[in-house]
Amino acid sequence: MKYPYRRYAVLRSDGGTEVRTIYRPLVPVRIVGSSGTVEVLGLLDTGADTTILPWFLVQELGISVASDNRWRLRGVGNQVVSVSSGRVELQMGRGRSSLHWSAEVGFIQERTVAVLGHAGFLEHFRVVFDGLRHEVTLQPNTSLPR
Amino acid sequence: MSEPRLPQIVPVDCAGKWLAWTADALSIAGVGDTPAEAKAAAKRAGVTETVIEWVPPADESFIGVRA
Repeated sequence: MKYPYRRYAVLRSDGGTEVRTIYRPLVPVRIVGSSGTVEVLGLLDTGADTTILPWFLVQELGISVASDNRWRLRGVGNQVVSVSSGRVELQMGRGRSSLHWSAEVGFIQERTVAVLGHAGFLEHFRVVFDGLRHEVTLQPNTSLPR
Repeated sequence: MSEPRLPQIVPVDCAGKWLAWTADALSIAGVGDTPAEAKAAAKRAGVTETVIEWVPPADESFIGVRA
């Protein structure tokens, strides 16, 4: 499965007003809960230990989250964020080549990009980032059911 | 052989917003302050099957989960 990097118009982070275009490797993934399916764009994040999804999915998909099993996430700058964990089914692709698997992921209450980290997502793929062509290729490994 | 279509560039004024993309994730169909608002805007534009994304602020470099 090959996906183009997504393009974003941004301003300089030092306060400048110049607009430029940057590229981010996000891919579409469907999240399945007991009451439906929502497709989101998720950031392929090789620096993330786990997969983190936005909270609206909990409410919209009827996902059970473990209030007694909160994960602590530490990012750059030593900031710690607490998230609730829950189990979902993830799906990619369509038709005969579609993939699906179950994963325990974190749900964060703040507004966030969906982060596709190692546990729950990247562990199931061989991933090639082509920075020159601005595209990413995901090849499922043997951990996924065929 | 034709090149695959590229997704629309996300404009600066969509930063900090929720987007509802068309089902092929190539075009922005709706924008809102919540996922529901973005989906409702897409629906008003005639798009019912959407792909949802939150866009980080345009003047900050993004490095992962936003605390």
